[in-house]
Amino acid sequence: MNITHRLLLRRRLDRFPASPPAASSEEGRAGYRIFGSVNGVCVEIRRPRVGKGLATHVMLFSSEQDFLKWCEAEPLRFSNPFLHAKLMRHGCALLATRPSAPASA
Amino acid sequence: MPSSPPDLQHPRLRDLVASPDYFARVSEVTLKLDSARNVANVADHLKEAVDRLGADVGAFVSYIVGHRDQSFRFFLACDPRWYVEYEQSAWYADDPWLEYASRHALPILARDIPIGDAAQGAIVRIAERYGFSSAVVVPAPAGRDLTRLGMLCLGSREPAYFDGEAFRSVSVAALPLALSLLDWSTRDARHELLRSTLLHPEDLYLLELVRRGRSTKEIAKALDTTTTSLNSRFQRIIAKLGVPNKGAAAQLAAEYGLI
Repeated sequence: MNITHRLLLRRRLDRFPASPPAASSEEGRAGYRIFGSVNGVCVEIRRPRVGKGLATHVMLFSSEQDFLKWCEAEPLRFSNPFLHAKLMRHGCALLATRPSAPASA
Repeated sequence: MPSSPPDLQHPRLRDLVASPDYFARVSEVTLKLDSARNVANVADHLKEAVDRLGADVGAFVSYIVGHRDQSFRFFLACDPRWYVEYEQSAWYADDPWLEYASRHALPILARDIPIGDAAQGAIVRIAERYGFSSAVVVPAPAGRDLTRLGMLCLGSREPAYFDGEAFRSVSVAALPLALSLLDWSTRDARHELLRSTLLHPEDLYLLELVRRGRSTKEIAKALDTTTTSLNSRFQRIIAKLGVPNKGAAAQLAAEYGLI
């Protein structure tokens, strides 16, 4: 057993060559990943909700102003201030270094 | 697919869907999803597709229904403060649009989805405030007996924007997009599951046999091993996947497309 399954599994993994995030952090089931994007930066944030389940949100920010507005509203600010501070720092740093967006994005 | 009389069509959307390359332009973005390498690529493609479809905002969610520990993953092409406000008063399992997508396969105008109670009404009003005054809900069913589903929601700040015949064109163009987004999300979840659990190909083979309805005795006989040894193997698989029994393990593996 079972060469077919081995090959199938390898093919399934090879078909998905994920590229890594520019920054990430996690504590337990909560965490975030930040990626560079043609539209600015992309943030994926994952937060468990006790007794309810897990919610993950992926969103784009083209300006530091929009990013900070969202950071201010994000509940992680109160539930996990340390993680939230890291997220803000990483996001602002990436937005500051990103090349200008193409004219017809 | 219920729709309104043609004279209610919004001129901007009507002109857009009447352009000869409307479907080709949306399909072009849909096809790009197959080679998306991370969530940022997917979010970029979703934003582009929402623009080409003629919507102001959009969101795609993939989720598993009927599980105790529910998991929802959203790709947002809208103001993200929407979900912050949403989660202050509701949870996604109570959402009327998700409820519709869990039971139907055809796109629908959001205003045609019945609102069950005041809580569901509040959920819809929050969506309206964040750009979904008029909305199209596009279900992405997984098929067979699987419970991983998807829903694409397209919105406009203008009320009744999607009403009229243009709704049909938007629906036809958006369906493959919703299915491709679900396919990508499932692949990504599968990759993450394999990475985090370190399941062996042999584990998957065993789960496939369970899924086919083979008993432990039958499997042990076919593999020339003992039921004790096999049960021990199943216990390790169950622990890796964090599920209560081998049936649930086989179901989970099927949900993620591993078997």
